[in-house]
Amino acid sequence: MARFSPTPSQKLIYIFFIALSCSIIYLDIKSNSFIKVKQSYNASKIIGSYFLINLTKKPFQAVRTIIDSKDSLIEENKKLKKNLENSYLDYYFNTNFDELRKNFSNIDDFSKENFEFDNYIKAEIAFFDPNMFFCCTKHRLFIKTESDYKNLNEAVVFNEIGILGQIISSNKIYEVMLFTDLNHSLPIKNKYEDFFCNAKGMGLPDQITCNFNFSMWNSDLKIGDKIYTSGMGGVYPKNILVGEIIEITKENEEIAKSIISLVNNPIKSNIYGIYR
Amino acid sequence: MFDFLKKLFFIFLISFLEINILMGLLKYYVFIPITFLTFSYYSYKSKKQIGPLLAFFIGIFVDLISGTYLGLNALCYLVMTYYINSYVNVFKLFSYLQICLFFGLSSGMYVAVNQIVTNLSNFSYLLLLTSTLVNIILCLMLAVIGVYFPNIFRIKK
Repeated sequence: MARFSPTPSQKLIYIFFIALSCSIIYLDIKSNSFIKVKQSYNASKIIGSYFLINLTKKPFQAVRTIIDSKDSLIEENKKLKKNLENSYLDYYFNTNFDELRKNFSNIDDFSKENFEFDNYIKAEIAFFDPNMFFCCTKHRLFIKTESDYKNLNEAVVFNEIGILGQIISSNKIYEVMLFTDLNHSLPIKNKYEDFFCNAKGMGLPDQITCNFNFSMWNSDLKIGDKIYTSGMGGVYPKNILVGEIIEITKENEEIAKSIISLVNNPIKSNIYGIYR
Repeated sequence: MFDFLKKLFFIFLISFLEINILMGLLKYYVFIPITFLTFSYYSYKSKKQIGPLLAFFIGIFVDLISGTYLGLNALCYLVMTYYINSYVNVFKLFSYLQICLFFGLSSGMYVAVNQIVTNLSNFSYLLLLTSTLVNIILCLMLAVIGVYFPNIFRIKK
């Protein structure tokens, strides 16, 4: 449809509205007559934006807050759990490994002396194959530390319950041979130190075995006896609880076989200590 | 009515863009009256004749949302609509360059009127000249874009 130029009557309308606009401007400048209109508009703008924010932004913010608080709670929980495991590990180390610490009767004696105590390195689990652990003879645990340490071969690995095994190779991630590995050998003794033996892994999750000549030892070994590390071999510290005897069988007239149930299990924690 | 509200909403969005984004260009002495240009382009391209009543009310609405003196934009829009309606058939004989010059200079006039009414004591010729120049260049650019990308920027007839 073609457009036509304004007719004289339309021009009059234009002139009328232009005059109206001019008078409105004049009134607004001179007497501020439309202040209420402007204020009403501004008020409605503020109220509108407020409701709009409440309707749109606030629910999202609330959801976000809930998610954030949940995440922070999970994070805090993890942190607390880690701290708790660390404190258990510290406790285990201080009560089992450090003979020097045990010799002090109270904390004052401990703080007065300026001994340099051995300490241990904290590590976390890097990889562990539970299928291999439950089915097969090769029982290995892979752990990692925050810093890279060298010369950790043959270092003892323990968790909050007890010792687990020794490091056999270290290349950023440390490979730990567990007591239950078929190739592992652990020098053990009983409480009264009248029985010594080299216990070997059986490839079973919680058990090691020890073949010994019972005519050689004057010990009266029985089921339920506690077994400790003997400290021989120079790898494991002395007098650390390993487990208890659950079975003794005579292989022949001289040799007997005892099976020891271990107190510890690598699955029980995610944080480990390395002691060298 | 719905069509009118749609126009108002569109003008509101354009005005929001002008106030919040393009006002930042003022420190470079450039003012692009994008709402005014949009309305002018709409009245130029529209199939129907844009009447003085619509121009007046849209102008008042823009005054209200932009916080200027009431009637200022209404006056500018009315004058612009009148000119466009008067010369809409003559524009068909003009080249793109001439039409762009018309729109650019109109927006320069708009800037001048705005300054005279709202900011006479700090009237800046630099702002006026740079704004006019930038608006002419902007109109030319939009025209070029409109020619080479016709489906997007042209109003369907």
